[in-house]
Amino acid sequence: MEKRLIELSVNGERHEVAVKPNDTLLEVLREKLGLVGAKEGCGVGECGACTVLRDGRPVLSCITLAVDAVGSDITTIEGLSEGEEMHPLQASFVRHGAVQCGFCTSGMILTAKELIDREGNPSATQIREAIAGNLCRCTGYVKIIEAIGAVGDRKK
Amino acid sequence: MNTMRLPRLTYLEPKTRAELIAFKEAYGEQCAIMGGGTDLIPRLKRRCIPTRHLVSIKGIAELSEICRQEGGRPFIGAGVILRDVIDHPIVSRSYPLLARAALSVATNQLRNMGTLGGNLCLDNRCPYDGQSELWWARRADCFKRGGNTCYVARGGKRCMSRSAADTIPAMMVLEAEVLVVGPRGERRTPIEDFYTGDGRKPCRLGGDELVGGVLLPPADDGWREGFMKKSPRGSIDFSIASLAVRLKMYGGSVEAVRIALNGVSTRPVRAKGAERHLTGKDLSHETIKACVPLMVQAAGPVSLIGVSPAYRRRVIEVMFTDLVQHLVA
Repeated sequence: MEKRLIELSVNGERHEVAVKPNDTLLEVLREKLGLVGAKEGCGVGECGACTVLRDGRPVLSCITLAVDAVGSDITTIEGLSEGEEMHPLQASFVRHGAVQCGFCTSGMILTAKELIDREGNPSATQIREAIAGNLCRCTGYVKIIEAIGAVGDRKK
Repeated sequence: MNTMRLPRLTYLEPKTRAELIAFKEAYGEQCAIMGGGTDLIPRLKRRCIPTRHLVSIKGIAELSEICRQEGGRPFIGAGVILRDVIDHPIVSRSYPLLARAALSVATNQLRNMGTLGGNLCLDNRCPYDGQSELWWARRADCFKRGGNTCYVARGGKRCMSRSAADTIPAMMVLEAEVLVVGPRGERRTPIEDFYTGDGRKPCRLGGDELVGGVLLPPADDGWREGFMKKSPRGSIDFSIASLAVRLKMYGGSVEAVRIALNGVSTRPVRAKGAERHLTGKDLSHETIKACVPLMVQAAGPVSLIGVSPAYRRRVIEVMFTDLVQHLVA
């Protein structure tokens, strides 16, 4: 299987990587670019742990082919903070105790970022609907919903 | 990590419709047409399908747009992402039923990836077909895998996998047409006639054909319409049943009505008996009640997958009663 040299735009930086057609975006992010914030949970697009933003919208990197991500702007959790300064959503998750084991957190935050960018001040129902594809097996949903809601309120 | 690597594959990216058709003609059943890949990639990871050539339709501009065609009829390309279907002003203003149905598909992330063409051509589902290669290594292949056993209905004579895409019933009551393209040109087929009822090959497509998109009828705001989906879990789940109803009232009685169900059988169904029963009548409690058995009848021998047939029939009854009463209120 031939490797292809592709250019990926991740967190505002351009990366040239050699990939095989069956490499997923998640595999390339974690194994070639060292960005291990996105996690592999189910591997088949059900749990949301591998969520990244593609042109601003949450998508699942475990079922996205890396070759298919060419030409898009990919944002991972590593691209959210500004240096040592946490993104307001990250700070809010910490403040509300919305992180337990942390495995779902990067996906949750990225999904929430798009929701806040789109809706400004989403209702609890909108938050629940938006994160329906991000499973938290510690079941800490209440704190997560509060943490996201607090950022929306602040933006108001 | 990498518990489930994808198998070796080739990835083809045609840039024009002609190129796409040429690939499909050359590879036939050996290749899979890929929209968002949300169903295809997991199936490949689980080694459910032998396909190793993927043909992406994403790079083809004319299959990735929503536009008006002759007579103001909107065309939605097979490669349009569900999120864009939902948000497009033509759909959200004039075909809110389709937007509702598309919004009920899977989750936020999957709607940002999956396409309308993909939902339309979603392969029939079955808990056995989705098992891994390792699971199958010790068992005889089922009908869907080319064998002659059905694990869902023991002793069954055909594949009983279930058609479960949510946008289909909405497009059926809208009487949409599927645009099929191939080397011999294009043809249109009413969406109702597009499904075979054969779980092994649910879409009526030749080996060298593929779906280019969907044509909706001209907008008509004289209809009352509703969509309902019931699934075991509230989010990210395939339906036990999904139901779309569209009706036009004249005075106090039903002038025209269209009812479609999916998730209940090997193919989506149009409840023609129930439609005939309702036409010309007022929508009294009694009329609706008398129509319920016709809805169950339309579903035919209901699927055993996920829930018991008795429960699925009950869901159909309750959904139908609730939805029609809501439309009258």
